[in-house]
Amino acid sequence: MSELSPISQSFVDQHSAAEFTSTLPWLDQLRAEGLDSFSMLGLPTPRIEAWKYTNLNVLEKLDVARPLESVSIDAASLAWLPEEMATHKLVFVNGSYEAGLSDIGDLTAGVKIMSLAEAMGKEPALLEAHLGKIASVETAPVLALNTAFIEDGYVVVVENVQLDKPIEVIFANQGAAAHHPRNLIVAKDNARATILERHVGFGDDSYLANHGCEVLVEGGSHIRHYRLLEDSAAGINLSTTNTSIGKDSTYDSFILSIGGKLSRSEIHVACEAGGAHTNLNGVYVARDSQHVDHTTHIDHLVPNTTSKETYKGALDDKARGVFQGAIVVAKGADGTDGRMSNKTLLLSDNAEIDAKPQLEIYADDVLCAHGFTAGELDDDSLFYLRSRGIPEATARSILVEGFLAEVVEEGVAEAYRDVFISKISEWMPKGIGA
Amino acid sequence: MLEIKNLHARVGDTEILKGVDLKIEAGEVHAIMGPNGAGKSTLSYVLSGRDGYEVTEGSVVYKGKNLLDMSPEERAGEGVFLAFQYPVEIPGVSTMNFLKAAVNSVRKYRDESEFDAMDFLKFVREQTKILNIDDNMLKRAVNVGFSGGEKKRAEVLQMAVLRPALAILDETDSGLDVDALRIVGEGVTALRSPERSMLVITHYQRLLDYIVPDVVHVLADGKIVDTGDKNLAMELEKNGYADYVEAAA
Repeated sequence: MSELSPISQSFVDQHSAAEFTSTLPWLDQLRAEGLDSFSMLGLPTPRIEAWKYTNLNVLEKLDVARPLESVSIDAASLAWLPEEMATHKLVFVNGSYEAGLSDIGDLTAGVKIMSLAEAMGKEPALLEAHLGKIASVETAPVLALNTAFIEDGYVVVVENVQLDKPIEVIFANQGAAAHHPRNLIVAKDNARATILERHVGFGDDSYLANHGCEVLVEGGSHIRHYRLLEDSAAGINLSTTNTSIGKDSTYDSFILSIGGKLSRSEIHVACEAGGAHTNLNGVYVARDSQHVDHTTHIDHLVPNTTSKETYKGALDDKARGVFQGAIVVAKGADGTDGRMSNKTLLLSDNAEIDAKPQLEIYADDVLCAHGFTAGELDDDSLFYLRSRGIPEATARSILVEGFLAEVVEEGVAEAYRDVFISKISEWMPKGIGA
Repeated sequence: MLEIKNLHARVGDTEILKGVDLKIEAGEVHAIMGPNGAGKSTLSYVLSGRDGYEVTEGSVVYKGKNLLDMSPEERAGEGVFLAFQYPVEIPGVSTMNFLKAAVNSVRKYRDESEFDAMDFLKFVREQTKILNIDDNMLKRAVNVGFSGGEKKRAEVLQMAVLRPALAILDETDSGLDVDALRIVGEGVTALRSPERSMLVITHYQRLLDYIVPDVVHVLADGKIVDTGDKNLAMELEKNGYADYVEAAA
């Protein structure tokens, strides 16, 4: 075993000092596996191919051992959805469930929504059946770190039910510390649910929010999972989502990345039975020296599964974007249809996008395509708008917003589009890229 | 309204306009006809202020002001409108939002009050009704997936809502079938007024059956080589441009 870096070692030390409230034997075992794996691998460095473009040395400045003062977060600063939109709401402050800010409301038969900490007491069998079963920590150091610290997060289980109201989850962070929320979404037997996550940070301290999320969608079910990342300027947001899609089921993911010093949203999807389908969509906007990484991996394991993926971004100043998208079609997975597209507008000469689309196809009868572009705003479009009297700066904003809004229209159900489009508009100053 | 004197312009190293003289009074409709490569589209782009077209000599005075000094958006604010030969597709921007941004920009430029959403909707619906445009078009992204006829009708709609003093129509008939041509031609004709001048650029005479010009010019090899009334267009339709092209060469 090679020597761990100081920051990796400090996580290991922190773990041995940690006192976990739940002591289910299988859960202790799972955490131990996470810790073992992390102790072996350490935090990833750019020497590892999958982390070539995103360097976690920013974490070195993080003092994870520092005891956190309790923070109080004003409920109003968490609001992000239209007032009239009723939701099942869960709020987590620095990774821990805050009942006082949450409002899960009444639940019908077939629906379970609760914090992971609560589920450890109430639904241990359910957790044991799923936690750590969809995601493997063997080659995933960041997820291994999350697994070592499993303590809280959210659990959504829907069976044979169509949930009318969306599930709203807010992760609020403030103060220098590392949190490792672990989330579980299970949909079975023609269930439908929409999950809206907002990640938000307050204050000037750097923090690490390291999310692990496991998703199981099967038996004709449909999960929509939309996320808004609005971390504070010094915040670091990592997430690893592992999704397993069963027969005739669909997983829709949309992520809008706006804030944070560094974010990496990693999604692994396995299409495991015929009719499995996934839409992975995302929009990223960044300025100053923000770093935003979207990494996806889709496995088409059996015949007749489909995937569609569109990520678009706009990068200004010295911002850096990363898109890594892999589609792997297994031997015999005929009838696979996998489409991937990544387009980035570079609004400044110093902005940078590193894109790595990757198709690995071991079957014969498949339709797979990927497209990638990066460039400036189109001159013809700009002239067209200006010739209609629209000042240049406004014309640029309109074009950038339109370019990005297209993904929202494609990837987000109509009821929630305005939430994301208005966040994009807010990001856009008049005169961007001028 | 518009006076062009000895206008020379080039794109890169290629001189395309070689001394154009043209005067249009308020309310007049002038047609510019000519063979391919004569400089018709270049003239429309120079007048609307597109980058990449360098004026090397001559002047363009519009309503007493030097047009060439103005940015494209200032020209639009002053009332110059170009209907594009190939309207540009703008994904993700609804036609309604685009029109509203354009109209409110020029209203602001003209010191008029900006429309709010409701007033604007009412204003646009009046225009779509006159032009026989399906209101669904307003919800669609600008020109994205539009047929050739829809694109040209959308251009006429933009012209209607922006109320220009000088409308330049660049090959508005291209890509249109007979029915679409009639609808577009009638739409443009409905917008004729004593205060509004038009410069209709076309290769073929057929559009001029619907938009009857007061004056017809022939542009060949970067210069106006002939000027007449609408009968000149008829002659060109019959005899083609061969005489002019030979004379210019």
